[in-house]
Amino acid sequence: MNTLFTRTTPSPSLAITLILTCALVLWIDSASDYFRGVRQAASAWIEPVIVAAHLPGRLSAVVLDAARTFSDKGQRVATLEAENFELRALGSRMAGLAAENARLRALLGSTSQLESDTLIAEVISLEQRLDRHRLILDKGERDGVRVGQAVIDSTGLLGQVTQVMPGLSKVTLVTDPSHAVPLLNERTGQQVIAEGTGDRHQLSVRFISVSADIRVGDSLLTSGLGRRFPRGYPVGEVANIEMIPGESFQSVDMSISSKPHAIDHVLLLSALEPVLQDDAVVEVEELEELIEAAGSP
Amino acid sequence: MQWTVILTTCSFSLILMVLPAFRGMPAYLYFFQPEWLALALSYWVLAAPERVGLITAFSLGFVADLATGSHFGEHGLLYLMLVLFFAATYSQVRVLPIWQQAIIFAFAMLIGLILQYLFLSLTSGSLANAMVFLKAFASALMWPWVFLLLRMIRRRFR
Repeated sequence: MNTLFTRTTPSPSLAITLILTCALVLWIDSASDYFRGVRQAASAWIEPVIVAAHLPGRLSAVVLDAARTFSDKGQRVATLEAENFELRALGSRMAGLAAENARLRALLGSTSQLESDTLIAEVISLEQRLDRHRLILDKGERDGVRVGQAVIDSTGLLGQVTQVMPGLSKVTLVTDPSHAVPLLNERTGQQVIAEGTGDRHQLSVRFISVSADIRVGDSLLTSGLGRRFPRGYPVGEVANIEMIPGESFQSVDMSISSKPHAIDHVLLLSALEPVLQDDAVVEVEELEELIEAAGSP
Repeated sequence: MQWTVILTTCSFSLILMVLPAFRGMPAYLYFFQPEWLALALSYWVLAAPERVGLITAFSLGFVADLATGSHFGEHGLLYLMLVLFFAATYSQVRVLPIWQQAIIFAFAMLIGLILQYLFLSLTSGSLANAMVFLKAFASALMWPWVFLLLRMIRRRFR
């Protein structure tokens, strides 16, 4: 029979199948890295959407910038020249220090840190939700950006590149709740791990034992462990220490030195090659042999 | 022809969804971001239920996940729920005044968000932020404007 209003109800079995598929995919994606390849392959395809969404903001920024440059060009040139002069002076001293550092490292027998190539990128947007802290940069695969590159600015470490599109890249900030960074206490040399909590200005320093020597104001630098971030970039300083009775670790918060909401340009450091610590493995094996030899009568 | 219109409007709502925040935007404001694609999708289910259905919702869900960077499947759950709701009720909802449609849309969004919240909490092992339910109301406030605009577009390009 032909009714005036034909009903098109969706089939329940299809609905249940699709909902369960979504749930399964959600479970796999939140528990593993299985879909990273898919995401990476599809990101080139979704890039136009992100570019289109940023178009109004970027156009207005260009216009505002042009207007500002036009109005106080002379003064800006003067301040930049002064700054450039100062930085050149510092740079020449840095060269001397770098050479001295390399000599000292050679004496100590540790590998010298290679001079890293850098790339300047413009920040085109900042997302700081409770569950996600990210930057989008205007440089992508075409410019040589790779997943895993450390991102810094003049005030310290910001985060790392986690997704690369042909002309854009996404950076996960150190304050992202899913992010952790290995650090070094500059005063004591203690190795620590700082995790993002979703707070915009603070990280949580984990696993500091009750007896550990740590004070408010201690400056924390990247330690280079894990070879994701190069050694020696400032991240922030210890802001708050609390002893919780009955807990085996202190609750330590640090404030970050960089200000993600106030920066326009960042520096991308070249990705370090992950190196298997062969020497360390050998040392451990030797130690085990020694222990065995000492243990056996 | 109608597919072109549907896909174009959906692409525009996708762009609205990834619109960058202004610098220093407080984190709670993200919960008031309307789900633009959910609005467009719901409109098209009401207007053309014979074309827009579960498969569209499923595919658009994955596109939205890609664009916003959320976990795969997150938006799909919400959109599937919306399409199920409106595909079952479109003949009644279509004839209601716009403000009543907005209320019903908020209700449907709530159902979808609850499903999303449940699965997100289950997969992440901790309760998701309950503030996400504010999205239902933020989106429902946008319903009249989206409805009127999309109806105009649909009539122009019939």
